[in-house]
Amino acid sequence: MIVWRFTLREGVTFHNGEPWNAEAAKASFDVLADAELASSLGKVSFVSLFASGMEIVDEMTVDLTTNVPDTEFLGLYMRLGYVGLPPQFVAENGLEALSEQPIGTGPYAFTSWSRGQRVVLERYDGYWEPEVQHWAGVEFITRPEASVRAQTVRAGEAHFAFNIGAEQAKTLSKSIAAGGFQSSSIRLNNTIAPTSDQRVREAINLALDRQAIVDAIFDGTADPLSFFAYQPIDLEPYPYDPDAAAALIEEAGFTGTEVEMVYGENRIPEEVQLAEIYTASLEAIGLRVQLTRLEPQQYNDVGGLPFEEQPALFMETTSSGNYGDVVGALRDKYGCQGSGTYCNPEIEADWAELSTLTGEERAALIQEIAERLHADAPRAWVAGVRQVHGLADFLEPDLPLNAYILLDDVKPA
Amino acid sequence: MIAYLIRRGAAGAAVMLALVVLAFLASHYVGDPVNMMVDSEYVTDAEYDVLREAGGYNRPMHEQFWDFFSGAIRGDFGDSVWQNRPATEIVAERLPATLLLGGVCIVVTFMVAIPAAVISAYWSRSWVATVITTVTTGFASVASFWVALALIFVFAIELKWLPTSGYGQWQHMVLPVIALAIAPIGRFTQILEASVTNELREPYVSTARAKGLRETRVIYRHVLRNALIVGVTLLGGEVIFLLNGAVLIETIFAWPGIGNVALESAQQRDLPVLMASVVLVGLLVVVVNLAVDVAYAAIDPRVRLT
Repeated sequence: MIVWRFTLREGVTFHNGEPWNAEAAKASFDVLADAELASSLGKVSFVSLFASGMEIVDEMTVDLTTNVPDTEFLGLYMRLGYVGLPPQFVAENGLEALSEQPIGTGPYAFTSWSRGQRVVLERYDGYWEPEVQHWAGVEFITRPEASVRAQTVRAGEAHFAFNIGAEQAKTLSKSIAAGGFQSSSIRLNNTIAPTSDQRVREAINLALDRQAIVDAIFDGTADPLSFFAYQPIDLEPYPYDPDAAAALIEEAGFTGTEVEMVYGENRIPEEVQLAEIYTASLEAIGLRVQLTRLEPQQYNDVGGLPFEEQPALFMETTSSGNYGDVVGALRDKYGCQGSGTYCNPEIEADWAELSTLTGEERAALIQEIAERLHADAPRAWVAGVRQVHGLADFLEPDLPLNAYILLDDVKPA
Repeated sequence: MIAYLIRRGAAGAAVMLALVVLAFLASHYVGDPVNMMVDSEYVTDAEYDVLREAGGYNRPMHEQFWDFFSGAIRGDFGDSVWQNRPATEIVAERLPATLLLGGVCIVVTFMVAIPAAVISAYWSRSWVATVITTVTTGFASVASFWVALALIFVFAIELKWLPTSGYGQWQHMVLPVIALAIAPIGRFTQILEASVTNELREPYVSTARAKGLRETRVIYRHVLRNALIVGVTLLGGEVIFLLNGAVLIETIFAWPGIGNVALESAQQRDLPVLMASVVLVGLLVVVVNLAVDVAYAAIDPRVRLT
C-alpha cells in the first residue's frame, strides 16, 4: 500500500463561486470511484486500484491510498476525466444537472451550448492564473469533415481547426504539426512461423525504408519510428538494408515462404498505401505476402484472437503512450496478456517492477526493456504520424508533444 | 381502399421486421459488439467482461434477439454508450433537421424542375431546350459530395456570401439544399420533360385548345396535371435518395440531422444509437412510400386501390 498526499492549490474557486478545497476534492473523487458509475468504460481497474476512499487531512490536504504502487495512476486519473465538481451545486441539483450545465475551476466558464453544434465559453474572472487567459471567450464548433474543418479557417469562421491532416493543411496559409501521435507498425507474431524466428523479424525491420515512407505518404508530418512515439526512449530506427534483410531470410530458410499480412483502416486513411509499400518491400527480400484487408469489426475480432491463431503480420496504428501511460502501453504491446502477439517470459517479469519505480530508475529500466525489445524485434515500428491543425494567421500556439491541447497553449502571435 | 391500406400496411410491417432482424444480425453476428464498442488498447479483460455483462452480450443469442426485437417494437434501443440517455431520444431530436432539409429540397426540386420541364418540352426545338437538357443531364450525373465541396469553395471561400457549414440561420441552409437537390432536379426535369412531351401529343390537348382555352391554362390545368402523376411516383425514390444523401451532406455541412448522427454513432461505435437511426430511417422510407401510393390514387382517378 502506498499513500499519496495531495496539497491543494489555495485561492481556486468554481465558476459558481464555491471554493475548491478538500471537501470538494473528496466529493469529486467519490463520483469517479462510484462502483455503479464505474461499470462504464475503463473504470473498473481504476476503482480496484484503491484501498479506500479519499481521506480529508485538513482544509487543503487529502490522502489517497492505492493497493499497489503505480507510478502512472495520475495519468489514468486524468484520462478517466477526474474533474473537480462543486459539492454544493451537486447536493442541490444532482449530478445529472452538471451534464447540461458544467461548472469547473478552469480559465473559461461554460455559458451555452447547442447539441452537436457549438459550446460557448467565456473568460472566468476568478481564475487563479490570469496570465494564461489569452482570450475573452472561446467557441467550439463541430465540423465532422476534415476538409470542411480546414475551410472554416480559410473562410474566417474559425481560428483553429483540429486534426485536418497534411493534405488539407496545404490549402491553408498556416498550420502546425503537433503531438497526438499515431504510431504505425506491423505486429510480428512470435508464436507462429516464420515470424517466430528472430532473423525473420529483424529482416522485416531492415526491409522498410522508413524515411522514404514518411516523406512520400505523410509529407513531412511524420517521423521514422524506432519505438512507439512520444516516449523518453533513446533508440535509432532500424536502417534500411534490403540486402542484409534478404540474406537473413535466406539464412533462416524462408526464402519464397508465404506470409499472411492483414490490415484495416482503423485509425488513419493512409493504411492502404502503407500496406502496398510493405508488401512490395517484403517481396523484395524474398517473402511472398498474402495481403488481406479486413472490415473494422473483423479487424477487431482477429486482433483479439489467441496469438497463435492470428496472422504472422498484423498492421496496426495506435495512439499508445500519448497520455504518458508508458507502462500500460508497453504491457499491452509486449505483454503475454496484452494485444501484441508477442510473449517473452524474460521480459514479463519486469512489468511489476516497472510500475513501482520512479525517476531515473524508472527511465533506466524503460530504456533497458526497450533495447531488449528492439533487438528481439517483435514489431516493426514505422512512422509516428503527428496531428496537423489548421491555424488563423494571428495564432502562435506552443503545443506539447502529447495529445493534450490546452487553451493556455493556444496563444496570439 | 381500406383493404388496400391494410395490405400495404402489413407489407410495410414485414419490411420493418426484416430490417430489424438484419440490423440485429449485422450488429451481433458479424463480430463481437463489445469489441466493436471499446478500444481494446485501454480495456482490460476484466473490464471487457463487465461490459459484456452490462450489455447482456453474454446471454444466449435467442434471448438477446428477443430483447432487441421487443425493444425495437416499442421504439426502445437501449441507452447510448456515450451519452447515457435513450438512443431513440438522441435520434428523434435529430429528426426535425433532416425533415427540414429534405422537405426544402423537395420543394426546391419541384419549383425548379416543373418550369424547366415545361419550357423544355414546349419549345423543344429552341436553344433554351438544348441548354436545359444539357444542364440537367449534368445535374443528374454529378456526385453530391463533390458539388458540396465545390459550392463551399466558391460561395464561402472565394465570394464569402455564405457560411461554409453550420445550422441555425437560413444562410446555413442554402448550400446543403443546393448540393442535395441538384441530382433530383436533374432527374425530375428529364422525366417530367418526357412526360409533358407525351401529354402534349394527346388529343385532349387539341380539344382544349379548340375550346379556345388560353395556352397557359391548357398547360397548367390539363397537361401538367397529367404529366405530374409520374412525378409523384418518382417522389418515393427521391425521398430514399435524399435520406441516403443526407449522411454525406449532413456530415460535410455539420447539419445536425439523422445522417449526421448515424455516421457519428458508427464512428463512436455507439451501437444502440446506430441501430435506432437505421430503423428510424427505414420507417421513414416505408411510410413515405405508402403515402406516395395513396397520393397516386388521389391524383389519378384511373388508379383504384383495391
